[in-house]
Amino acid sequence: MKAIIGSVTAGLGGGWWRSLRRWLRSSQESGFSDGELSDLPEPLRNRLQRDIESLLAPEASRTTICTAVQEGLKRWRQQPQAGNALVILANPLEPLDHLLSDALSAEAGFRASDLITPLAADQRRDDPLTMPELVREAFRALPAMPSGDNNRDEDGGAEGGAEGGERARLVLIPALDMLFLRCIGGWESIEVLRSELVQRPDLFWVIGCNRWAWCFLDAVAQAEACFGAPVSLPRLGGDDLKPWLLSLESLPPAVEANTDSFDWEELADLANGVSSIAARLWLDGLRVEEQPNGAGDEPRLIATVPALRSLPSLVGIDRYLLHAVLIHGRISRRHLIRSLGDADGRVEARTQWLLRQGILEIRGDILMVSPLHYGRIASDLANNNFFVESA
Amino acid sequence: MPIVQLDSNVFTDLTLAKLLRAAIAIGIAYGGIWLVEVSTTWASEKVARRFRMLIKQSRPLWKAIILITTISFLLQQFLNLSQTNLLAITGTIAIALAFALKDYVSSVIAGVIALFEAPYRVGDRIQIGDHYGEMVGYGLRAIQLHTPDDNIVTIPHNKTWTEAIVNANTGALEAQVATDFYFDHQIESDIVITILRQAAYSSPYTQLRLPVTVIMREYPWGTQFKLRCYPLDIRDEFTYRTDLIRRSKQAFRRHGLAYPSLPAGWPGIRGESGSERDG
Repeated sequence: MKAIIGSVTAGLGGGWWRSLRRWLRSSQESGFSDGELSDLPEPLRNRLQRDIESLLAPEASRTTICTAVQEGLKRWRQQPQAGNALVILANPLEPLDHLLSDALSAEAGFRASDLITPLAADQRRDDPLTMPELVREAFRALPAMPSGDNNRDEDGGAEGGAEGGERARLVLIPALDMLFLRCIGGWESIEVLRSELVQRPDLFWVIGCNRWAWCFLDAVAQAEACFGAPVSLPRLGGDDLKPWLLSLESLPPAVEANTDSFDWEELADLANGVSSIAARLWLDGLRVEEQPNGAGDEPRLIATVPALRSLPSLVGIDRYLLHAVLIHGRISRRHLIRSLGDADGRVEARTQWLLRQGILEIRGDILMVSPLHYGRIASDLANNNFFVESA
Repeated sequence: MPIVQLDSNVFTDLTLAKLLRAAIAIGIAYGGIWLVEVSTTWASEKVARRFRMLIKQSRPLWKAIILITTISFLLQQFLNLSQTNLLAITGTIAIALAFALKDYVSSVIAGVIALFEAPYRVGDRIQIGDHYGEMVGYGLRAIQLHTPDDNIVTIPHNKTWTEAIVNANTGALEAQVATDFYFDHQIESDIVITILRQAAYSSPYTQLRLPVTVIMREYPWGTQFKLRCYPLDIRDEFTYRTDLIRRSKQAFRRHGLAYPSLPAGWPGIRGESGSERDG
């Protein structure tokens, strides 16, 4: 009976039901008054944020990447015509370059000498039309193709990364989204990469890409036909997030005191199973409990029910702007203006407004969507007929 | 001698209470129609795009329900609608209307038929004769178009009997936008096709789920390239076309592509769709 009710409510709109349940629970479980809890001090918040960024990727993500790479390698060794590339997709807010290097070095045991990273994931070139040349230059530095046959393991027996027979040479492209800009001539570097893949069958290519960028590249450059079917990072659950976030060394012990009462599944649900969003929501929900004894005590941190920020009313250009930021993952103002076209300065003005509202965040000159708003932005764009990632 | 004889008491007794009820009914109907107009217009502009057309398209239905209910109530108040009376009254009214208000009645009937045939719905971008625009009103007698020049054009429904109606989106958010470009015969056409396709794909207004195509046509004075693609929202039609032209021209300049030079005295170039839809 319970299962039937569950399936009916899911059919009627699981989102609404979950929201109602979340609201009811938050009103029942918040055992602290506003007066007892206060926001995290800025230095502590910054320290926790830095520590979260340096955490090793969640185990489920690392395992998925390793398994996909090992299976891809095995398939490539056994059937060279099956393709020498593996694309790993992640949410645009995930630091996929870190996830890939964590997984390949810490989990799969690939040595630094086995991993070739010809293109860094830091930033696009100022002039996107010169990207193809940058890519060509980077590939010229790749080790030469062995004469005769390639250096693949002929017996096909390698199970684990670098082990077994001859070592496979892996070329890691950590962020495909950094190789293009949505403008005329802006994705020619993807075509350079495609032709390099064909010319270098002796190398196995692991390519990271954000899902929104992949949707775009698949529409404009038939990415899936060129690079093969991608593998998506798993949707993390509460059981994945709890040990990952509690492994923070800088976390005061008081937080662990309410880990059992804290709803980790709800956090995972709000974050759409994305680790970086979950971490940010969790951090946003941390509060300092006032100490009655006064100064001298360690601050007691309490994890409260997290919540997505509500979106202010967006105008048409805001949505085009946010869609452009999500497609590129991280983008400078200069590139954003080039991509959207900004004859009358409206893009610049609306970018400032979105930054003030906290919908966009900026690091240096690089803009990205705030994790606290991502869920609502994605849903708003989907409802407004934008071409969004399906997962 | 009439074929159908009216009953002697075709009209009911006229009382103050009935007049009051009728006045209240008309007031409520008027208020209801106003409320439908205001609420659907407000709601359709507030909700996400995917629900906009749905809300706008429901407006004629709500208005029809209010009108039919009110007219039925008024007839029931003032007439004894026996079978004989009904036949006689409708016959008499039909003859009277045929002479006096035939165009009006023709429009009303065409409006009712259009509700079912749906050659146009509120929110659609349509062209009737020389008039092109977004349909913003669906009245008893006529529709209203909001043109790109910000004019409201009222067109009676009975135009559907005789005029061709061009509907660009038929209830969808997207509609194809065709943009013409002209070049000298000597240019490399593959470069132009690549640039035009990339202009469409790089425009933030483009609906990437729908196809982008480039079609060529030869003229004595040059080559025509027609870029066909779809914006996310047909309301952005002219902004979209401008964005496509702006992007393309930047790339054409970079590649040094030559535009056609017309011989002196040439009458000029007119695109295939030389109508108000060109903006």
